[in-house]
Amino acid sequence: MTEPEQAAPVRVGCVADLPPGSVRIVPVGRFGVAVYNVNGRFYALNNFCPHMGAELGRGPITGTTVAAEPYQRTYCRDGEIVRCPWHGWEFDIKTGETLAGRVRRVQTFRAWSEDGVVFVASRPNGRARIKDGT
Amino acid sequence: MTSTTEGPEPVTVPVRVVDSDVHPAAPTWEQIQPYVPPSWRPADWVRFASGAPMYSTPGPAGVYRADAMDENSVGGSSPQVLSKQLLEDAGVDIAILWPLACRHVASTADEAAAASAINSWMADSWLSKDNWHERYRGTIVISGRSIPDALAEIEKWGGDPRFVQIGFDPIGVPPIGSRAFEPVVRAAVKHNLPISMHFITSPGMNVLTPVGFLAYASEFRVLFPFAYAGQVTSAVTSGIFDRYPQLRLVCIEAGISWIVPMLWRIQNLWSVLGGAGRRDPFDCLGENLRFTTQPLEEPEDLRHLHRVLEWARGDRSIMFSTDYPHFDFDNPGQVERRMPASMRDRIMFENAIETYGLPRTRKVVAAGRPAEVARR
Amino acid sequence: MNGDESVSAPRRLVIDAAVHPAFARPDGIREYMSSEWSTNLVLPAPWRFAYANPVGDFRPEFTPGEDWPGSDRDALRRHVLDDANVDLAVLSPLGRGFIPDPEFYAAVNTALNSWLAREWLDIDRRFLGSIRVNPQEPVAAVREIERWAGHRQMVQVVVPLQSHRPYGDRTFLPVWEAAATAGLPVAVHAEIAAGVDFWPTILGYPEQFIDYALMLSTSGVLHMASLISEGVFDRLPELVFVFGDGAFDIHLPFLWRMDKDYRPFKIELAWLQSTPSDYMNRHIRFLTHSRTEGPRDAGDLAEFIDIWGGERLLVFGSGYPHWDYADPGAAYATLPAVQRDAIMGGNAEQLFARRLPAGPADA
Repeated sequence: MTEPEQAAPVRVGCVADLPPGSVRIVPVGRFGVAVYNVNGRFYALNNFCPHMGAELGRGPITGTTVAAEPYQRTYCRDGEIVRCPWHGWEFDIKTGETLAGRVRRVQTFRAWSEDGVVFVASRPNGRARIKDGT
Repeated sequence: MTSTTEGPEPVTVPVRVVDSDVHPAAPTWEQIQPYVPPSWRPADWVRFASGAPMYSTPGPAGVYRADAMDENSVGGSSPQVLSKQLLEDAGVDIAILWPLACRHVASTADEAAAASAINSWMADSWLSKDNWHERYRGTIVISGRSIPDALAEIEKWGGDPRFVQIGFDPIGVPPIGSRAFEPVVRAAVKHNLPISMHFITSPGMNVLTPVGFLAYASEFRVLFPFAYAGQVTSAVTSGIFDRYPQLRLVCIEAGISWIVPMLWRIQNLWSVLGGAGRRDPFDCLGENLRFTTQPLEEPEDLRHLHRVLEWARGDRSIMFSTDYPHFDFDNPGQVERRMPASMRDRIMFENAIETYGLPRTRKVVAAGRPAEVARR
Repeated sequence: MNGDESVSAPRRLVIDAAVHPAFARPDGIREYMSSEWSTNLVLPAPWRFAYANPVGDFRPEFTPGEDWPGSDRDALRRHVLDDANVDLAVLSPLGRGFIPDPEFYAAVNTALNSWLAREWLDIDRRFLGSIRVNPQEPVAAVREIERWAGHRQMVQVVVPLQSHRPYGDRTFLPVWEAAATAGLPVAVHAEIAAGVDFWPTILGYPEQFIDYALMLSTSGVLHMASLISEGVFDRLPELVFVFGDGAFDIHLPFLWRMDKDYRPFKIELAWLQSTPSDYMNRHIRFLTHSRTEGPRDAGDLAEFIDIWGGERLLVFGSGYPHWDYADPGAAYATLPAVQRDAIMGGNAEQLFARRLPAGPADA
């Protein structure tokens, strides 16, 4: 990226190449941005886990397990959660927030499709600079 | 941190990160079988090293990093993947390898034979043809349940500079300070090798705690440091470090904080029960004990960790580790910034260089390959 | 502090939460047992067999003669309360170990509880008591708790450190529920008698007494992890556990470890509402073991108490008349007053709040 950062969106690929439940990592920022298709809508997360810097985009896309009371587990929200490939922190793909404990956030980027092509913003939502551990 | 791009490509770079806990694996037991002693052919050795134990980590990749799984679904079995992810991506300069294949089985003879095979396999693979960059060092794994076989392994590999320590499971060896174990201590000191402990889970031989079996994998992770605590404290009270001041005992993956309250206990108990003239256990800590950082404790207030590291004589006793390829991998860059500035270099590489007799520089092998890449 | 405060502010209560009275002769318990037990069966003894304490199990100054230390009521009162400037003492006599015959075990517990009530609690209102039960037989344990729950001086349920299952296990739930319903915390105190326990450490039987003493109380951390992990405190929000053998010093490294694992293992422990630290702060307390735990240096001690959260988590217990007895006059004397007051009585007041008399009791 040249300084000042370009605001132009980045082309991710054809919609057909990013079907629901899949992810693609595109070169935005230092470590890339992971673009997800969740039930036909597109979301993007900084490919840098706020815990120890793992590539979030290489983590499994899953649901989560909740329980109304001890010993009773219910699986739900399939496809909406990404688990960090290292320590398995669960993030809501749509919001970038951890599901458990004090909220930690991975930066989100706007992602959308236009005429069969998926795009992602080159700047994160809400902040000017992509977090990359520096 | 990045190498200079001016002038000729440097041939060596300083060692800045030593990883004291890395687990290479064989894709299947077939790779290790050729090294099994000819006199030993257990009926069902294929199952020897396979099988998930109880308390497996929940999640799609189980105990491994999800991005470290290769086509064999065994993390740490591909030299290409391991060197890329650990040496390049994570920026580790030298890695101490500790193969976890040597699980407990009922037969002490089988267990000893497996340890022997694993050492020979490591010597022929990870420590030779896969060590073209000379950045790996090995561990002589022994079965503590057969001291004569353990001594034979130490004699066999003790003079080989590729092996930098002896290794065993803290459960399944006699107490380190005991007379039964003393021949191993003497052999270690003779060859100037540290002895290291690494907890190993063995399917079908689960660890019974003083309060029974715990229900969950997350609880299980709370209990295994106590195996080290029992060994370390009884080693200190036994006086083994007074009799062998050169002995170094390395606790791998045990946590780095609990040693502080346990040594305070020893100080207090000596004052009540009688321990006049005993060396301060915290001096033992600096001289004779080593702990690896992973999994690094993460208190809310980092200053609390720093104070504990000071009490723990971290400037001498603590060595960085990743536990690659396990899921709770600690990233070197992230750990480094969480260490107190005064101890950072000691923890990231100096203490390991001293403990293992490592070089202070390492070669950059492939022409044009940068010494450092952008670290996470 | 201005001069007026010394007149208007009431002196903070000082409570000793670990005093261990005993029968003059261990056989004295027979008086409190009916004939089918006392006549035909051999009563287990209350002393430790496998390990010999090099300095003996009791402080010599509390061992006047032939009788078991802690059996002389007047001496105990003098040592623990009057001479020590302590207002209230929580009594928990040693049991006879984990007796494998459940009915026999229950009969021993009932006898201990009855003796405690009759010969100690009835004699002095400054004595508070413990309801000893075997949690591994929940029906009998619940019955025993309900028998004593109305006794104003019984302030806690006491269970052994040693068990065959960790205390978060679901089979114990009815016992903890009975305690919580009665407004009683559950105190964990190691037995020293030769019960049918598993080995005292994860490595087996260590060689020396010092190694046994070093490791024994660490099992409390396993119970702690189990209670939190199995959602016991989610089911019983009023329940509090007190680890009477200590382990305050060793708990924090493991709590840090558990907090680190909270997110990775959330799919396994899906019912946890908050972090292990949060549960710890609300539901767990530790008795002090100031002779054996923590640093000696005053500066280190202050930092240790601060980092470890002692002001909130510690409850003073002298351990009278045992070998590791801590003099309440000297304990934590170097700490700031706010912390010392909390540890020496404030935290106990909160812990036993539903049972304590309205003001300092009359002698």
